[in-house]
Amino acid sequence: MKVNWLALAEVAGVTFGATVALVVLMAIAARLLAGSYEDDGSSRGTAAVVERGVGVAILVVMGLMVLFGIYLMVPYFHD
Amino acid sequence: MSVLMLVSIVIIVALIFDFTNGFHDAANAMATSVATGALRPKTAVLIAAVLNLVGALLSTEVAKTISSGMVDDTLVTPEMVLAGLAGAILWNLATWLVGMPSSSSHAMFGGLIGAVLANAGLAGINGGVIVSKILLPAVVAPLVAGITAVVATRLAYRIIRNHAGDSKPIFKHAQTVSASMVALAHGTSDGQKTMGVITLVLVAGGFQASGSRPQLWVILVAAIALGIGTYSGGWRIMRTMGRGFADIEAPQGFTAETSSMVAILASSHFGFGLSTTHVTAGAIMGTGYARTPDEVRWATARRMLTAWLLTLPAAGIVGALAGLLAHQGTWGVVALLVVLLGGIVGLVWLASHNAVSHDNVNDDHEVKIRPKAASTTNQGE
Repeated sequence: MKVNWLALAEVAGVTFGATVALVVLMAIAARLLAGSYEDDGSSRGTAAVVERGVGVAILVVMGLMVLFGIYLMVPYFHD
Repeated sequence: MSVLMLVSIVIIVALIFDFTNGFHDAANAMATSVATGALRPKTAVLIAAVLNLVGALLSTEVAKTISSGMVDDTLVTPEMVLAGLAGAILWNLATWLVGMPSSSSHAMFGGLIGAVLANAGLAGINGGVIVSKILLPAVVAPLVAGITAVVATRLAYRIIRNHAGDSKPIFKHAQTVSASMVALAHGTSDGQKTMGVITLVLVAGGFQASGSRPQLWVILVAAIALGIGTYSGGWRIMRTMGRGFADIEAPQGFTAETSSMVAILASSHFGFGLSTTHVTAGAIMGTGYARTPDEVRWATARRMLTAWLLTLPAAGIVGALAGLLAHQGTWGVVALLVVLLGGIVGLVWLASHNAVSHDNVNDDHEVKIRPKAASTTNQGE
């Protein structure tokens, strides 16, 4: 019996690393976007604009990571 | 009975299994999104159905593993495949009846292994592949997904701690994407299993060369059956997955779905016959434990773990008995089909006594076969 431990370890490592990265990025983006408004819905000024910009940029990065995931699972893209 | 007729019957039964696989596993992608209100139930299953169909068309790595790896396809007969599928379908419906998210993949593997063992003996089984590509990932994958979900959930809640209320709507939007990705990943993984089985029976019947990939029409019909099954909902299991373990919030739903998605995609990429149910349930338990360890419903988790342990042997025993019956000749095959049909009708009839549908999926956290005395019977499913 031959067990491909390396592939199994890769699956575990990729699962942990990619999930933590995506969730942390999402949490940061959500915090930045949620925190850039006052309780009454008004903006907090320049700092808030920067926070929103960074939040949106993080969401764009996450979108690219999702596209990379799709690229990896579709053999036609890389075989 | 001619070989062509037998192969045709097996393909139809394989597509019925694929349908049960779809509604059994619809919850894997959408349960937490439905539970948190990120998606309306009917919208959720429609998205899941379309993406499962698309996912099933994208890759055939796992299909090849099943058709030419797990069992010796030179010794397998169409009767054995039919018997294996019968065991898997009945186990899938029995666990659906009690709302238990057991693995459709393991039900199929168990049924097939039992049928082959009963008729071809140990020579028909490739133990190395079963251990390395099915059993080992079955243990490792939910553990990894669960531990990952614990760590990621705690980090997420630490980051949003002063803005948790405002962040949750954003996470709900994100859940639409993460749940959709799980559905896509599920399609790439589970759609291929039926393709693998149909390919196996085509090889066994002499209609396809051993070791070859699934044909285009096989890929298409398997993908469509999985999509239709997914759209039908599987609300009993959706309730257990979404509300049975713990009360889930949007950040937890996103975390569980992300962990499941990555694990399924990585496993599919390496050709492991992973159970998406095990992975998703592991991730949901992990994220539930991370936020409110005292509120996890361990009784549900214990019932589910028992079902996981029983799936392979139970489906195997039914598959073995069905295999012995099917090998008696034409009358055996007919008798098996009658038993299978009777089992399907009986289990669906039992479920109709306390139907769970998109209307009442979030009304309770457990599934009963008989309605509670005070509750009204709902129509659906």
